[in-house]
Amino acid sequence: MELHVAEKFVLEKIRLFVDENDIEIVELKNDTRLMGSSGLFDSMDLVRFIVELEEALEDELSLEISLTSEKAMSRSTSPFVNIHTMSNYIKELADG
Amino acid sequence: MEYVIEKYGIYLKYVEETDADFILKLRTNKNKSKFINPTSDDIQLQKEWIKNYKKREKAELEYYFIAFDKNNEPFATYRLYNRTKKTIEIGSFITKENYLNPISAIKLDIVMKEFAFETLNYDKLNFEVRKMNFSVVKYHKEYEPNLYKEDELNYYFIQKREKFNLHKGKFKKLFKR
Repeated sequence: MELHVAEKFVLEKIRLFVDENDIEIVELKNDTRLMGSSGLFDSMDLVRFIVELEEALEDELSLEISLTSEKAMSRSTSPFVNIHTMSNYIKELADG
Repeated sequence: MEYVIEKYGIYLKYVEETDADFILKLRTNKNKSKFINPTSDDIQLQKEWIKNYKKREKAELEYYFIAFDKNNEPFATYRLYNRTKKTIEIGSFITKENYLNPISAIKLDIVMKEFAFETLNYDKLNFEVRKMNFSVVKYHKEYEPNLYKEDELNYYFIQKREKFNLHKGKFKKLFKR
């Protein structure tokens, strides 16, 4: 999977989620933080977004992957830091 | 440390007087305190409150937990209270600000609801959520609770066991694979 494909997919799903959930955003870029004090999501929204993203990856790209495995959670850089790290982690899992 | 519950990779112990400082920091955090009942920043009052709680815990009327992750980091509190024969209430669900593992909070909520439904054998539980706490309201609504009352500040819900069991898989799959 090309990184830009993963980034485009994640960006599209985030746009949908923030629209549906009335989350205020200024601009979405690959370095937009997803969590933490300046992040787009609080922990509850992030978890609900991950559920929706995993479902979309399976339904639309036939990718059955876990973004929240022990392996993911124990990485030195969390996949949930920003849109780029999340997309890169999806690419890694998709490429096996 | 004596854990009361170990499940899904998190660990829970009953609150003790020595936890007063941790609880106070959580409850008086400026972002967290917007969505919970006001708490005095007097640690002696907090210790006194816990001392009284321990009597209710001994009488099995109330359970107040601190949750730890697998790195032994305390990350949240959760309380089951107002226990009667048929109902119990959940609350004091507060996660440390900027805690970086979002799955731990969901694990804690599921562990506590399973404790109420399976261990204590309730068919339903009550909870209230601040209306302005949008993300938490939306999270709870994923389990289809019944809204039975609302006022200017809060929604009041009843969560039935069968609805919880119907929907919890969607979140459990995040940590059960």
